[in-house]
Amino acid sequence: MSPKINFFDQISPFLDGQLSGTEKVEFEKQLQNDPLLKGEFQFQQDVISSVKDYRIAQLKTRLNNIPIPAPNTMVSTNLAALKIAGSLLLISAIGTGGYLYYQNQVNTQSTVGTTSPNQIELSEEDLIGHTMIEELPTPPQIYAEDIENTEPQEQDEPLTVKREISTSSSTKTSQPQNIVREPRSVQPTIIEGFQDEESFPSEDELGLSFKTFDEKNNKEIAQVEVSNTIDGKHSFHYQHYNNKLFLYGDFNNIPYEILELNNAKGRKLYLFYQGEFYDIKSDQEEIAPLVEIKDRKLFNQLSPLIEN
Amino acid sequence: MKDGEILAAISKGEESALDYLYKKYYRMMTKIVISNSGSEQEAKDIYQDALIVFWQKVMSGNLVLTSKISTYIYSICLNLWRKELDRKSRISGEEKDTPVYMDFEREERKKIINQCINELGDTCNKILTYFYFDGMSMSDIAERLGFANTDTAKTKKYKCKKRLDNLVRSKYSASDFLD
Repeated sequence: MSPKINFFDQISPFLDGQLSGTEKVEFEKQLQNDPLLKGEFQFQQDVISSVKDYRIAQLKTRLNNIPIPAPNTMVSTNLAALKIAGSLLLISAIGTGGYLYYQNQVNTQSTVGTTSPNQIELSEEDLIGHTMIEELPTPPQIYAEDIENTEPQEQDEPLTVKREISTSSSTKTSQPQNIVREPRSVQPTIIEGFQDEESFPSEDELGLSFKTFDEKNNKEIAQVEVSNTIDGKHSFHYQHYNNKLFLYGDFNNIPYEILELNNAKGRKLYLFYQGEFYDIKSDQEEIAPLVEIKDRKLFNQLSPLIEN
Repeated sequence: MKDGEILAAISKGEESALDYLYKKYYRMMTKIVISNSGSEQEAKDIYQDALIVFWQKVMSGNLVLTSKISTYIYSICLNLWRKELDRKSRISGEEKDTPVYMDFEREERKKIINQCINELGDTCNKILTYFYFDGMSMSDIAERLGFANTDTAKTKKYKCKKRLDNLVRSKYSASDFLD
């Protein structure tokens, strides 16, 4: 066995960490004192170091062969990613803003529409009435047209009332100046205001067809024309035929009212003047004086209509 | 891949896991060096060295990872770059006209050793690499290479080391004799 081999057996356990504490100290002493051993030790160290370096070189070669995107490409990729992210953020911001704006609108509308929890339980009629206040601009004009077309009707509602107020101050002919429809007959008119509302159901869908009601009655109810004549011969008279009412006299320039009652039996007119009702017959072709109604029961029935 | 999967793969010696890590954290890790007055090449070297340190730690079986892999590698990069900066500052502080001592004999010997490692067989190469580079225990080496037991691995390792030693010595002596 050569001395170098002996050195190998001495050095390897030390380099492999197989020596105990005392053996280690003993070897280090020999290492300092024996130049041959020290030279051989360095040789062994270089072999082990080379084994490590060899493996490191292997791994580094492998890693160097892994393609890594160039920095510029990475930057452009990052910029592209940033652009995409920015776009997404912008879109999401717009979407969120729109959503919040929509929510605000909805909330505002909800706040207006639901000031009271009870309103959630309002019936369709209540809603219709509520909307009518906002949507119907000039209800009196509609009433005026409707009332002129009103005739006795075959409805569940037995009575409709048309009321005319006039004075004899006009020269020859006096047209109705103010016509008031009673609430029951007014209700269908309210629905007409929804015709232009897309968000609401049609009249037919609601089962409220005021036009049909009017058209039907227009065929049956002829318009009553009222004229006032001052001829000097008749002071408080009338004629009524062919749906035409002729009043004679100046009525002392005091307003009078024509009250029209329609029911299934037909139409009946009354004149109200200075707190009294006067009977107007339907077929009065001859000029006849207006006769005051003495029947208190009928008077009491007509009075509330005037007061309304 | 999750951290646990990466660790498991590396502990099995799967180098593809190292490739995965290298690509995944390249920009993050090299930025440490580049943003601290380092060049792109220095950053790359530091990152590769850090990954190799990480590989060794995992292969030795002594690593208890209490953080994410990226955090661990990041700290290795930071330490390696600090050491490199220290080394640079030391070199710049030394007298520039002092000749740098070059142990040409040792450098030449290392070249011969590398040549001899190439001539070793695959098994010997793995045993020596596992033991000296990866720091694996003899029992792990025996298991990894399918040896009967730890003693067999120890014997194999002794013979491989002896063979390399003789190989290098023969070549080194020959070149020495030629001088």
